[in-house]
Amino acid sequence: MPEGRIVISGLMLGIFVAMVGMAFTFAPGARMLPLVIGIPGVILTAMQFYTELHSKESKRASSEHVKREMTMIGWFLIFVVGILCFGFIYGAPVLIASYLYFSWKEKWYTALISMALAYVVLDFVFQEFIGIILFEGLILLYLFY
Amino acid sequence: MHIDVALGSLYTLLTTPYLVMLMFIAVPLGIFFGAMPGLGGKIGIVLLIPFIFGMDPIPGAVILLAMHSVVHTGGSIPSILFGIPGDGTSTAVVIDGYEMTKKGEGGRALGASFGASGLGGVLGAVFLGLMLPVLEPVILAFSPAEFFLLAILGITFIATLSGKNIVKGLSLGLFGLMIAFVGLDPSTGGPRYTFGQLFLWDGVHIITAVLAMYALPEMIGLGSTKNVTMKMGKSTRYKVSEVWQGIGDVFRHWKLSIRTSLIGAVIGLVPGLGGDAASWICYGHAVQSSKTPERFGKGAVEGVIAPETANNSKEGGALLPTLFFAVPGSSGMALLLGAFLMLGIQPGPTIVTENLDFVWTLIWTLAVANLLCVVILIGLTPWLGSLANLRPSLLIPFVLTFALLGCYLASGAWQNVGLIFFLACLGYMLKRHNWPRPPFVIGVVLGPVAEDSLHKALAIWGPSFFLRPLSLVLIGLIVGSIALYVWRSRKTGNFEVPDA
Amino acid sequence: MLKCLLTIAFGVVVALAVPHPASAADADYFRGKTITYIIATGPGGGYDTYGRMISRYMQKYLPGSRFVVRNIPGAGHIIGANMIDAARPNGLTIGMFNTGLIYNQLMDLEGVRFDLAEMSWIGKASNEIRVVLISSNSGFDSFDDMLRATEPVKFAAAGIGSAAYLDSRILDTIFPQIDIVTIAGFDGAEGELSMMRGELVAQVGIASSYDQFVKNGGGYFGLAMSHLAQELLPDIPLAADYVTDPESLQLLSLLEALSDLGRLTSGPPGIPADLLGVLREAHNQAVRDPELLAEAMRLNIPIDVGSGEFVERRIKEALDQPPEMIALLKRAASSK
Repeated sequence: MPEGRIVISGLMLGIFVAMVGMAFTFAPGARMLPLVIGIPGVILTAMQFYTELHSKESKRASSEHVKREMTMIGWFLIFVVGILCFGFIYGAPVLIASYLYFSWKEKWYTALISMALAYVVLDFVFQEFIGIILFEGLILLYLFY
Repeated sequence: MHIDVALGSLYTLLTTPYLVMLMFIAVPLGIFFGAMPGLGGKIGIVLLIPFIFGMDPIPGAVILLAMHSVVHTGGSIPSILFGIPGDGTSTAVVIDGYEMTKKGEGGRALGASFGASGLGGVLGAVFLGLMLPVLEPVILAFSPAEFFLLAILGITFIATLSGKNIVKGLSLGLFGLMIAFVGLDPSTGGPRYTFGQLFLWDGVHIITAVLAMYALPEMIGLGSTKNVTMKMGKSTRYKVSEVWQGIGDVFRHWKLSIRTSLIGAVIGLVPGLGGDAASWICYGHAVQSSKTPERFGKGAVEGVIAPETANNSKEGGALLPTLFFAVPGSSGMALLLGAFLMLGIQPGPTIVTENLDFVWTLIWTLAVANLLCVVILIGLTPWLGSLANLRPSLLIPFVLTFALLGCYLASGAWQNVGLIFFLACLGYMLKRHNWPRPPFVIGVVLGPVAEDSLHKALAIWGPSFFLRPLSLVLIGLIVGSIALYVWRSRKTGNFEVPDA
Repeated sequence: MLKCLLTIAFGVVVALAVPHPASAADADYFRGKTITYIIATGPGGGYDTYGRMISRYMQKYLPGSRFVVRNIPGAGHIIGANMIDAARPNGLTIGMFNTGLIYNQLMDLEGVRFDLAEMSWIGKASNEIRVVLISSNSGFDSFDDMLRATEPVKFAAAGIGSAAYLDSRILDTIFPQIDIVTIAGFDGAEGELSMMRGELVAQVGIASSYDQFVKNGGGYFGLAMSHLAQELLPDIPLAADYVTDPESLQLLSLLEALSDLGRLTSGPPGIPADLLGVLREAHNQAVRDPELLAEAMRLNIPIDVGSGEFVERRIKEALDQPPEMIALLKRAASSK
């Protein structure tokens, strides 16, 4: 597995190449600025990628750190999917409690109090007081809307 | 100048208990709505309008304007403490304000923010008063040609904000511009980079971009270290002395504070450039004009002062076209305009001759509300410190939730919650490997303005729009900005790597 | 006996002839229920103002109900309109979006998932009288003056594909003697500012939104695109007075139909007739409520009531266009 710095510079290069490629499918007026900006972007990121490939520095993170990173990103993904499925009012408090209890091994009452606090803020402050309806989640939307 | 009318209005405002009470209600409300992530202050005005329905013009206008004028100050609180912008204009203060919090200087950052906001608000009001005689020619001097060039000037700051990592910085700046092209193309109306998704027709919101680069990667990083003893600062509560130190910083850097207040007021005066641009252009100016620009992005207090003065002074500027031409200077002002009409106030050129005392009451309301806001927030700051210094286990899930909430509320589309996952993972990798993030945000903020204005300028004048007098001045500034950067890098060698 | 039969017969005839008001049972359906009123823009702005006001007063006329406003902005009202269209037809989700989406449907533009002809129209609160606003410093004293222009005339408009942009292109098609160049991207009051700076000469838009600008002397109404303007703006020339060729008259008639419709409230297709009737009646009473009218007057926003049946008829008429007309529209839209 190449080092992270090589991966990110390669990824940026790939993104620019893809965006420039897509720009050629736009109408002439629409593609002008994406090409004017994108082509120099390809050049610069290619330079950076080349520099990283040939750099002698090695800043590889420990496998332990990478594992913790992946775990945290996994939790972030769970938050995103949970909120998309169950919304902010019901999904977010449960996710907060789950994260506290399972990831940080907090006490169960800490998790419960945090869950209650999140629910109160999201429902009473945002929905009731300010009057903004928060996203209810795709599952509830499908079932009841 | 009608000094008697001006002073008379101030005296009335301060000695009428009803008006003072309204300001005491309005200012905390404005702070509250401003601090809610992603909302911005407009919802506060919308909710307040039914309540002011039967009021007389002056009290109604006072409560609305007092609330509106402190919204951005409220917005700086979550920006500084958690890296979650309250609204689009509070995004610039995240760069250095949040870094200051991480270094344990959150109290000072908040103090600097409040002091800068207060000063900016007062100077914006003064500017408003002084500009009364020369209003029309100044407002009408700026056209899409000048907006385009101002946006380009702001974009040249990308180089300065890149520090040593010029290639990385420029790449990310260009990436920010490419992200700004997501949406409908202004010249053909055709969708670009939308992948058939309607929610992307309006582009990627600036708050989504900033959350993906700051708050969310920080939380991923914090969660990855799993250091339970780590705190975001040395102490759990901010001392009032730290806050006063921050306020003092605003006066220590008085030249910068005055300059950015004026730049903000002028940008606010000219409808079309947008409030987000004001804070970023002033941030860029602070970096450029500093003798030690390498400190920016790592917790430089000037990085808090510059955007915060501009945020509040621009409201004074924006009030001008709203009152005198009935043309709103910002989207918030558009709401206020409707409310003013409802209260029986007739904006237009005659407002100066027929209602000068009303105009001065509004000017003083801006100033007094900003000062009142500073006083209230100084009192609140120690308690705010407790929030920022929660242990990571508690901080992370709440920040994640409110960041995702802010992203949803800013754009109004749930699909952005999914989009931000990918952007934030990218943002985390960029942060991990020292790609400077401020240039990306500048690209996202100024890209739409630049393209839209370029399209309009070309449609109105053709390529000769560059030859307009004010355009030539701005081109000179752009060339000067680039030359200054080149000269500096040659003179001082490389800057230190900004860990932004 | 005969008298008894006659009495019964009379009773039956009366019962059949007199239209029944919505029965208490139908209105009771909404008691204790929450109705979501979707507004296809963000908070603030014209649609939000009308929508919040209407929902507050509809709540008054549906006792026991609770109205909750939900802003669903994006893609020029299309996301909000799609959301209303996709909702369950149980009367608990209704909302408001831009009438200009009629153009989107007629020209089969991207993103449209609704069929406006099928939606359950509840009522209208205003009209959208299109006018040509000409700048005071344009050098033209009247529309007739503009007709004699020898150079291209620059018009401001909102985004490409917006109703205002299309109206401007239709104007150019109807008046081939002027070369109208429409420059898009002027949202909100930016067009008026551009006119004040002397960059642009005119724009096509809704008369009521230019009130302040005209009052302050920034411009004047040069031409009205609908006969509805005659009552409010009697001295303004009418487009119909200039136009004689059949194609242009057809385009004008579409504009006439659209001018009559403004700030429409609708629900998804398939709301049962009795529920729809209750909602229509509530809307009708709400928009005629003296307090609402007073509030609208103070907010300086015009009210022009129309029933759901009227809106439904007009929408279906507007959508019932022959293929040549659609081709004409597409041609007008894509011209510069």
